[in-house]
Amino acid sequence: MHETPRYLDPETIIPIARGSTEAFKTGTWSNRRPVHMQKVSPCWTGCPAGNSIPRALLMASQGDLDGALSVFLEESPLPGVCGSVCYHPCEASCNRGSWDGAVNIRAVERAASQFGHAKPEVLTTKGSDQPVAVVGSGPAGLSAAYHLARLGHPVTIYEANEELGGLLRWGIPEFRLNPEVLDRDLGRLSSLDVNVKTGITVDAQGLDELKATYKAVFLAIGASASKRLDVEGANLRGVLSGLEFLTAVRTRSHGNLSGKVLVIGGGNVALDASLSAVRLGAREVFVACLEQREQMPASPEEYEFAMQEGVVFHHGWSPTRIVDEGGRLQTDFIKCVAVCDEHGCFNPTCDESIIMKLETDWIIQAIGQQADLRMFSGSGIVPTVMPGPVQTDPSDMETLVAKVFAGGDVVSGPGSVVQAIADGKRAAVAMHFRLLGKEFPEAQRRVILGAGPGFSIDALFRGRKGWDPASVVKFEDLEPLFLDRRERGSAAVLDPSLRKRGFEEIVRSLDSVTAASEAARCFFCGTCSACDRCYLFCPEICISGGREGGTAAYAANPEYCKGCSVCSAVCPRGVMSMGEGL
Amino acid sequence: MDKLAETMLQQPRPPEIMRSGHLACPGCGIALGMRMVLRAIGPRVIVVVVPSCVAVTSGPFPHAALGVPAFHSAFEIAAPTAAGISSALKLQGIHDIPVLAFAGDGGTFDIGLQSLSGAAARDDDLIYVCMDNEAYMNTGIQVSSSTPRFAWTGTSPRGNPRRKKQIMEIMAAHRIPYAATASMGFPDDLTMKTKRAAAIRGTRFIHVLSPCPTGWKIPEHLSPKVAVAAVETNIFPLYEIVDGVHYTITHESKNLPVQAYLSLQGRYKHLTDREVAEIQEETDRIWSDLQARAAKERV
Amino acid sequence: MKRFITGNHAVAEAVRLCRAQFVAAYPITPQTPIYEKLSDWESAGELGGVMMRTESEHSAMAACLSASLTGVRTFTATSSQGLALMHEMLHMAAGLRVPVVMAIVNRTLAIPWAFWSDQTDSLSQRDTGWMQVYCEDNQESLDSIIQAYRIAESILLPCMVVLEANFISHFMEPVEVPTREEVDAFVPSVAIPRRFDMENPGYVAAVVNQAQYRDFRRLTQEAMEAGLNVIEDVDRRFREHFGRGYGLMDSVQIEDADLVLVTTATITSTARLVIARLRQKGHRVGLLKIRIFRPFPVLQLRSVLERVPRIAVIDRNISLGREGIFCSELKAALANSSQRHMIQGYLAGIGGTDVTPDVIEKIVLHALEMDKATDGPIWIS
Repeated sequence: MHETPRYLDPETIIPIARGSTEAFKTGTWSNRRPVHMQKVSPCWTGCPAGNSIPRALLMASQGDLDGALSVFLEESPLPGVCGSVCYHPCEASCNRGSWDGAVNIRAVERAASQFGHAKPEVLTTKGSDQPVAVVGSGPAGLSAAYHLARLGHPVTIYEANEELGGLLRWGIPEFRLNPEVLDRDLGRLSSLDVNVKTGITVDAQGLDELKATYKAVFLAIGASASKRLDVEGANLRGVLSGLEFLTAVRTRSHGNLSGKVLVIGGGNVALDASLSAVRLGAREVFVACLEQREQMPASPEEYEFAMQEGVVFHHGWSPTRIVDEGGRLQTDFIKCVAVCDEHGCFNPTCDESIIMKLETDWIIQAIGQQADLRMFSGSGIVPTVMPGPVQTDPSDMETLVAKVFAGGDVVSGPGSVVQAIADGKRAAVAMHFRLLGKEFPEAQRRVILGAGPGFSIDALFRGRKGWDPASVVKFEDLEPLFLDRRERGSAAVLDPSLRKRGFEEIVRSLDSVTAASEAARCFFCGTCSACDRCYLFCPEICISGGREGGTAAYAANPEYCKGCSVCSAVCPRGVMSMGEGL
Repeated sequence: MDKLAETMLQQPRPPEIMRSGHLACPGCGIALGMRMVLRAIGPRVIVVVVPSCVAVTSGPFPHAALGVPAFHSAFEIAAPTAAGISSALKLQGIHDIPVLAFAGDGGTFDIGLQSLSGAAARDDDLIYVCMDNEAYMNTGIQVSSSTPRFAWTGTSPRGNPRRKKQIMEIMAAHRIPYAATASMGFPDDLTMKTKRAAAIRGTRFIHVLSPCPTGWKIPEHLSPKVAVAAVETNIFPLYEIVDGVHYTITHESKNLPVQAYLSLQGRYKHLTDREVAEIQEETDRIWSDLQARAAKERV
Repeated sequence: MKRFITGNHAVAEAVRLCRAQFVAAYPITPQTPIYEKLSDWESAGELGGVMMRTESEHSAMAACLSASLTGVRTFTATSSQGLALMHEMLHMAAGLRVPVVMAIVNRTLAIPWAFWSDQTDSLSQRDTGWMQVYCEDNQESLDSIIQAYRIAESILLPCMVVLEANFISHFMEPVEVPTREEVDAFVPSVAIPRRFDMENPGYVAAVVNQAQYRDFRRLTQEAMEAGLNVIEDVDRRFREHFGRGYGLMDSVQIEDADLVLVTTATITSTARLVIARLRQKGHRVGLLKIRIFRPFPVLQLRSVLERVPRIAVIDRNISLGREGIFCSELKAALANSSQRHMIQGYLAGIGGTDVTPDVIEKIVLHALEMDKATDGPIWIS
């Protein structure tokens, strides 16, 4: 058997490299390493309810509205409601707003609730032997009940009206919040251990009984007592109260309004009342308020709708008296020069020499609401020294009465739906830890979003690896060269000429396809979308993980990573950052 | 922006052909470009490399960074080497293994231009990929005919007085079936072009702009961004030329001012306003000419 | 069957008979008839291989060596400037251990410009690692091509078959052109190692370090040295098969010679006449034709010339700054000879000038008479 001489063996007579450069551990070239650390975004930290907006929008962008809904349900029970009426602070801080228009986050949330199917998840059963009561089923109460039930507590809601919802049902007109949307949100409570007792008003004595029956009570009766103008003629016939008016409209117990209607006030209740008046047949509707247009607390969108429907605005007027002028009402005004004083406190300055008189058939006062706490006098909830709203310990929302907690408008005065939801969530967690004998603030610290006070209840109880909620990815952290332009998508709006025919919702929901498309405009700041860019752009081909790695967490192989930071530079969301250490 | 993500997320990751542990500088645009081209073409290929940063990256004996059969030939002969292998395969009855040659700008624009022209004139069946880092980087940083005007190199220390050779026009003049520019800042476009080239026969030429942190004086992490900026400022437009006459622009740029690209690089930091203006003017002229040619196609 | 053809044509016939699969070439006088003949057959579908009409000789060799690396049988031909241009590639081919066969038609190297026969072009490539065969006539040119394929593919080294411009390339002689069957029986079907393997991918010619380079070089040298046996063996089998052979060298009447004239190529056939004539006149002279130049047959040369006191070498070439190259190589080979030799180098035929019988006789008589050899060559015209 002839052996091939060594000078003839094709394998060894010329250099043929069959080994791999993987033998060179180029990771020793640098001690810089990428760290895949998800962060938060301004929309996320800007949402009082702590909604994980980029995570939800990521799901939605992939056509998974079930998934998007699940993400919203992690922090809030009312995505449909918020998707209709929230003042969307998220959009105001959306990074895309600095580029080509904020993402229409609110519309996507609405679509998720409309088309998605998901159940709330129970976070722990530890509360199972600690039943609690919630008084009031507005957004604060519903949120508290929702989260307490997810924490294992048997919850019983006590609601004075025959149906749940509070102001959501009785204070916001149907053209702004479709009742079906509210009912769909409420329907999801049925999968949790939540009992409902309607038609029951809890007073001081009732509160005592609840304290005896339950381990803790959450008071969320809201602020639904309308303030009345402190002027002559405020009690004349035809002078209505804003919130009562809206409730009557909702219960169909209000007749038509003919003639001219004046609404006094600059908030959402005022605009809701003005638009309702239009639909009830008013010939002309005026809105007079202290504030200039930009200062009005009412939503700018609703202002636009009101303008489109012919409502006439008078800005910077303070009513001084109302007089009956032969069956009609005349309101005298003086000019309001400034609403707030030099300290920013509500302290209107007026010029009496400038006057206006408006003669109308009806007047609706919508100058604000406050909590009606008369029924609780003697309960200890209301401080005896100075009558006022319910006071709570800011760290854990407990009132002066042990084991009675409070939140929402009853504590803060009229606020937003989303803030009430946030309060309810915070209270639920505070109550849960109190009942388990633990410290709430300590636990909360690691899941605070940005500078707070929003936090993630989902992360608190289920943990979340590779996530730094204190780091906010701002627009300056993004690379404009990598960004394309696409105009913000809008929901369909009912034509003004068609609106007056009834109380149909003005703003429709996006369809599921448009919702996915709008969600895809989200940059997903701080949230890894498994786009694979870090993987693809690594010159060392040493990044693992991602969608084919079985886990979302990408990592660089330290044996080969030269610390070049390309992965971090190409990450469009600020998730891949550079760190030190071998 | 997520057109890329959509394209990629819809498909499973192709196998990687290049291996880690290669000796390219950190952040090397060539390493990244090679990786992208190779994963687009797949494992059934024979690769030719010639002295350049490509060869250094490919690994010293007995280690290889290329996971496919490859041959390290001489500086100026990437094209005829690939042509020889390609002819030989066909003589052996093998018709489904493409031969892909990687060369640097020196090996393409300068010393290799003659042999590339010869191959193109014969329409030899090969894919020629020029990894263009715009100077002789493997040997330090020396000017080549691919170095843009005014750029600093070690042998043009006051800025290069000559213009960059228009290699695409040269290749188009040979009427080869396919020529394209590509940038590693646009992996989907690069992938599409590589696959398009692989699907046809004849001489196919892909010009890949490959930023070089070392020679362009940019931080290591900036290669992709610079590669994107080159395209979005029209300094390196992305287009295809079929049969030497049919032009298609494959990316509508953002028409950013050239400063958005030049200001990122230390090799241009000495530029005067006048020089920037000249670069802008020249860029605008070439871009406008390219658009006119592409427009003729659509009629 | 015998045909009356030029050396170029004979070479082309051999290439076709050996079933060369890939021919890459570039035209240069006086090689062009080889290129044209092969092109002619290719376009008529009679070549059996493909041609690549390259834009330079450098590219021609580049394509040949990579095609050979892939595993096909290759051929090219060139001269003079073209060969000089190929120089880089010649080193590559040898280092790559590819069995490329090339025909060189010796032509003067510029400057000055001229188009006639001179061996300096091929001899300048002696360090490249190519085997070199110097042919005396048209028949030997054809036969050496056939032998070259078998040799090169056995030892995995490239081989050049060298024929002189004009005297061989363009002169017509009766040449025995073998049949296809005869050649098929002698030159094995292509079994060149395929260096690209999809199943087991390797990176050919990756950069090596100092010690690795040295070791690869040494292996190539070992192959070259073993090549001599291969060449002899192939020639012997050729003789058995075809009835003619050439050996590493050819010696004529050396046994008792006082002086041996050493020649190569066409000068040899003229010298045969002169030696016979001088013998008739009573001079004890012999002739040695060097055929195989690389690998240089040191042992065989020394053994043949061991007892010869005087040696005259005719070179149709010069390594400027020293002397004729065959002379230098011969002197080096005899350095370890047990006997002293007086070796004189002569330059004749440089530039393609005619080397007539009289010129050769003058050289031999001069060498017989001289007392002492000069270190440098003597120019004879």
